[in-house]
Amino acid sequence: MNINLTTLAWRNIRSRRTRSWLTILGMLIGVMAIVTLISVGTGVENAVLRQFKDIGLDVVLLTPRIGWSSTASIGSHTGGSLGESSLGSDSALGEPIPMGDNESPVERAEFDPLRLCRDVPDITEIGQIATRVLSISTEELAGFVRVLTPSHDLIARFPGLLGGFVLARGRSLTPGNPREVVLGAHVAEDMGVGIGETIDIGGVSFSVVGILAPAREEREAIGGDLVSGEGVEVFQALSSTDDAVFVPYDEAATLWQDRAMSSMVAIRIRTGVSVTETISAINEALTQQGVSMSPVSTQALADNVQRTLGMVKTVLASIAAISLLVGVVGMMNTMYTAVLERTREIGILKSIGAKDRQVLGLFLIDSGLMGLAGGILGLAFGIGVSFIGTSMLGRLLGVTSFSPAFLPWLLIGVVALSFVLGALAGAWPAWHASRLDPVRALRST
Amino acid sequence: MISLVGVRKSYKRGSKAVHAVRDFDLDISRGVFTIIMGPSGSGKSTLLHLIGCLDTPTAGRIMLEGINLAALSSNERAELRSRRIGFVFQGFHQIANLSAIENVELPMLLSGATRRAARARARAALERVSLGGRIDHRPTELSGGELQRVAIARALINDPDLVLADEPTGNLDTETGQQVTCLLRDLAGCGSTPIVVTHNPEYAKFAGSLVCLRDGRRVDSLNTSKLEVVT
Repeated sequence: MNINLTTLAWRNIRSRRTRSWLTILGMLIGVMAIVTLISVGTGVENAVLRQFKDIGLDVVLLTPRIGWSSTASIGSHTGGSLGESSLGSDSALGEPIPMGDNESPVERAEFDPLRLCRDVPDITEIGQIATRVLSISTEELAGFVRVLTPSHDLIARFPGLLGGFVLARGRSLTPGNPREVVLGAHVAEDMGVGIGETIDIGGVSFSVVGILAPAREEREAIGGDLVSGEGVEVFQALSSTDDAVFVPYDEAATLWQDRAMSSMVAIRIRTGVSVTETISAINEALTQQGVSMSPVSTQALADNVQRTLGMVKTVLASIAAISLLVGVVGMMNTMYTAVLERTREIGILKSIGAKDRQVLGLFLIDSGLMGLAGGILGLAFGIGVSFIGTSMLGRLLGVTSFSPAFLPWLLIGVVALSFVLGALAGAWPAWHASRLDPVRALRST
Repeated sequence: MISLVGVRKSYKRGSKAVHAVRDFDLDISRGVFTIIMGPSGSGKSTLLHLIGCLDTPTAGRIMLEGINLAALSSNERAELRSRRIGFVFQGFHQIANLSAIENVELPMLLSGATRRAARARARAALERVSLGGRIDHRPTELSGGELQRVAIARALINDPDLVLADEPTGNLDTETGQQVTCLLRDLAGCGSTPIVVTHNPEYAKFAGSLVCLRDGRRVDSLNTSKLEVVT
């Protein structure tokens, strides 16, 4: 009989076409909002988290605490792989360099990468980088530019921190050639310089040896606009490579020691070890060195970002859920009106033998079908609007390479939920209908 | 087949109690065409609703072949209506969204029959009331007489023991009304027990048993000149 109740319910929906469509529209809008907001939000989340995965989730970043002058404290250490060859030789990491005279007593401490590596055996790789803003000029143009000064090991072992450091032309910086520079894509284009040409940075001439490919767009736009938190800003600044130039770490430290704006040490830890325990060991080692640096793992940053975006998604989904709730209330109103209008029909059904549960089922199927229709249409429109929304958002942020993520559980769940919500919306009116006295129902006008 | 003993039905209308049926006794044998006659407000329809399990008495017993209808639950009464009772109403009471055959097959489907079986029986029932050519028509496309014949076909679909008709000719012209009454009378010869409520004395001549009501009580005879006569 269920099939026949469904047929009857479907006929009823069709018989009050306009009202049914308006009711379905209420559900459609709610479902569409949920699908769109969650899909676009998840797409953004995936794009941002992809950056962390590119860097590696086994990386710990050491960033200076307030009052800590990074370039001086990090000194001329170039970092390196902590295999036997590098760990066994101080030259690989350089000698500890004391802080400058103008630093506070706490800040006078020395950062010794080699000692850190010895104190924390789970460190496998280490690299350093500092950032400065310096003048730049050619024969025709002059201005200021962000100068990133990565150690060779950072370029080789942590390219993800530099947006992949993908060369479009030329070659990378090489040890033993201090006066070389690699240009970001926009800098090279804006200044009109090519491989082999000479440019002046901070009053020193450098030979252009390489030009980077344009950075992935989401790396610059999404991360920059949506993500914040300890360590994330540094990471964002480093991965925005298009408008930067790259000079070897040692050379920069020698030339512009007092002009560093920020610096960072990247550490890769051994696979399988506890990140939390390793960070505790690093903290302990840094305390023993008297260095004021703050370690944070990319995993923690990723978790932080995920948590932040998760909260944003939850808020947006909650707003969408409210619109779905409004749709449910609209459906409840429609169903209650339908029960009032169809009281005599209920009386007829009861007089010819319909049981209370069959009348209940008829109205539940009626509202469930409308909910299902709203869910399916809302899903279809939601998918369409997600693509349109992503495109518009991308254009607004200058990003074209991220797309909405349609989670299978969301697609199936939202359709099932709309059927259930539709049926629930009709539950009270249906119960009311099932309890009607058949004689009174038959006498109703 | 059905017997009523001391049946009373009272309603509350505001603070006033209305006694629609009072101390009513009745025995109806199987296969007897029974007409219940009385003026408007005499309690005919209420009595029919009580016999048809649509309502329960305030007092007294209604026995259908040994079953006390007053003791049944709502679902049991629905089950009984579905399998053993067919209704025909004055206002035809068709479901507007369904065609004639869909309306007729509905009681069978509600009682759990397959669609194919219900469709075959509904077709046969409609042919029995000479509507074989109108099975796909919606109620709005049928005349009053046709609608009442659809209602009779629907009442017959489950081969009920009782066919209860409440003013079945009230909205029909005399000729069509007589045709419908004859149709109901003929059911008596086919194993059913038709009980028709009317206030039209013209149809008394068809009755195998005539029951007269006045003010909710059974009376031996009625002054038919005071009844409304359908012309």
